[in-house]
Amino acid sequence: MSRIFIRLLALLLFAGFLAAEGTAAVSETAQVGAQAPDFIVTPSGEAIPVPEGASGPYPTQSPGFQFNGGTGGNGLAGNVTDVRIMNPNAQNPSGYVNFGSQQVNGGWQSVNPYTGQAISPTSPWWHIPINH
Amino acid sequence: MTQEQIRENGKKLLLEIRGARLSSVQFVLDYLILGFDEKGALTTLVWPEITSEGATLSFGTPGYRDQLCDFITRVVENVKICDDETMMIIFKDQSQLTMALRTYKGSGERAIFTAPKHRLFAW
Repeated sequence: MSRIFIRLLALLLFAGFLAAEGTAAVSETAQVGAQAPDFIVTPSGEAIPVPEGASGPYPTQSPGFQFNGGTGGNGLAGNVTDVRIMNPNAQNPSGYVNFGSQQVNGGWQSVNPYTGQAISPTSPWWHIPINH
Repeated sequence: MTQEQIRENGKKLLLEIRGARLSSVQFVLDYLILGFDEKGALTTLVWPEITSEGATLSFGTPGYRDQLCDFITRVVENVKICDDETMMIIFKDQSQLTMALRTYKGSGERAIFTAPKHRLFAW
């Protein structure tokens, strides 16, 4: 039951994220640290996998939200620990998704979600546009 | 939330590294992750300019990477982010790392700070 609630909450948060005026609402309401859903699904039907065992959603100080602390699964490479879904901004007008592998020093290393390899910022995997 | 408030959030979060040691320097492909003890880690896509003992080194200069690693164990005294998005990490010995984020030629974020308790800010 609680899992269904979490999925519903995540979807509501994501719907808020997609709304033009939803930026503040996401940051203020995404104060949840429960177990994450397996996927976040956009209104256009795209599924964004969330690493297994991750918790969240957690707000990001720059508008968006994230799930942290997972270990691959759901089609992701085993070293994918985090995913963040960021609000639209000037450079990314539709918002974007970034998959990360948490480093020993706490740093966010962006990775290809399917191979787990570290990627350069010039890689199309760094900012995966959200199609509305 | 206004852009000003968002910027302040980032600055406030980054200020948490004051008093922390630079404990790791991680070179990843064409960017850098700087770890600050348990206070957080800064992923920067802009190579910092290094100022130490009156000399300034830019990325590409011989000895740049060695000099950057030499900052490990130095303690952060202060952090500044100017209106032009130049980020400065000033250490107790007055050496400094300067990242002019607007010089980044790619699109999207230029720096990401991750802190304990699932906090994250992207510039």
